[in-house]
Amino acid sequence: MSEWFGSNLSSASAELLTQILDGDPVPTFVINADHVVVHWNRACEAIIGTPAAQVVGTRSQ
Amino acid sequence: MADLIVDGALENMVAEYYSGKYRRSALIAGAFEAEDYFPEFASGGRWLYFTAAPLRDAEGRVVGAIETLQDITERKRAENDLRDLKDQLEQRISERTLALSTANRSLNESITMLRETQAQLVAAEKLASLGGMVAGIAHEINTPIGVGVTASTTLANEIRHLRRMLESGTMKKSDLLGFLDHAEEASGILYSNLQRAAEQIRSFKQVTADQTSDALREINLRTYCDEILTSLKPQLKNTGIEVINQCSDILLQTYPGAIYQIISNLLMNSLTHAYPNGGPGKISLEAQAQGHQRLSLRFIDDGCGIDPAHLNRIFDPFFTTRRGQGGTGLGLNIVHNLVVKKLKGQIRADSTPGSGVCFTLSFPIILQE
Repeated sequence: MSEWFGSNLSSASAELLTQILDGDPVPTFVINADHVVVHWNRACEAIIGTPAAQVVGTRSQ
Repeated sequence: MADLIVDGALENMVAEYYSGKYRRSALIAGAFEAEDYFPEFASGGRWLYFTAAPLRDAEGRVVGAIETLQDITERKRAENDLRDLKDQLEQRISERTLALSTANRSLNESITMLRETQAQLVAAEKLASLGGMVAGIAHEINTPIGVGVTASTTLANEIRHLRRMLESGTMKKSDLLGFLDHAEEASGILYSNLQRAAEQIRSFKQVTADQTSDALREINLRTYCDEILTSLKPQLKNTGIEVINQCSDILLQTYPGAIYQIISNLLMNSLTHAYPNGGPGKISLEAQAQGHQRLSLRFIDDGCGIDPAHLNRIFDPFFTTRRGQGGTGLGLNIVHNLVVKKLKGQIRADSTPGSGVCFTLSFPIILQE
């Protein structure tokens, strides 16, 4: 996630953010200013049926 | 929605279409929420509740957005079902209300019609009892008039006979004396019978006037009941039923027409129902003053009595056990109304099947206007 929001985010912080979002049972995704999906949590995968790997890095949310 | 937030478009859209589907979040500044239907979402259409909030950098620039989705299809469906149910219920209620008010209206019309019919039948009943009374009067007056006719015919014959003897010069003094005896006797018979007829006409005139007029008058209960019973004699003829007037001389100020109608209807009721095999029977009228204020009048027959199942319905209008056989079911209802409304009194019926009926009437001795 750090790569989308600047370099001031440590990889530990990025990992923590990912865990927080994935632990949220509400389907949640995050986009950046360029509309690129930077995060797609597990609940999103479950309800929409598309794995994060297919969405993250694209604009097809 | 996250896209719109990133573009900053949502601020303008919500400003322009505030009442549209996007709402500002009540909790998070800059966040929005919406509900919408997505026909091609996952497996079949779903209702989604989604929120989006901007992500900002240290300078406050929007660098992204976070969006959440929640499937609220079940809740929506339940809400719709509930709304449908409520609509159906309202529809049913309004239909039922309409049906009820229609039924109510037609019931009201029926009641109005029944009331009119009832009034007509009551009038007809009264007329019928007036007709019966006229027959009674005719019958009673016929007797003295008949005797008078016979006496006058006899007298005319005697006169013709005497004239013949006089003209042929064969008349003796004894013939003349005999004629005078006969003439005196005939004129006596004529006088007393005409007197009787006049007396009857006078009393019947009063009864009839009471029937047709509506005035308070003072009457002697005993003699008034006698007059009533005399006028009803034709109905009693050949029945083997005897009516005894045991009322004492009580002076009443009341509506005599009502008294007549009451006694006449009670009597006709007994004659119609109490003696299915005809007479013999005994009906009596008794009266007692209860203190100075009220009179208790009892009408008692010794007929077959009234079925206990019918006893509390006999005063209802149109209650009859003889529908289709000439019974209107109004006779005792008229009695009840007259006693209660006209005479300001009460009426009660007691009966033991097999041993007759007793109607007890209680009403003021002096009725005020």
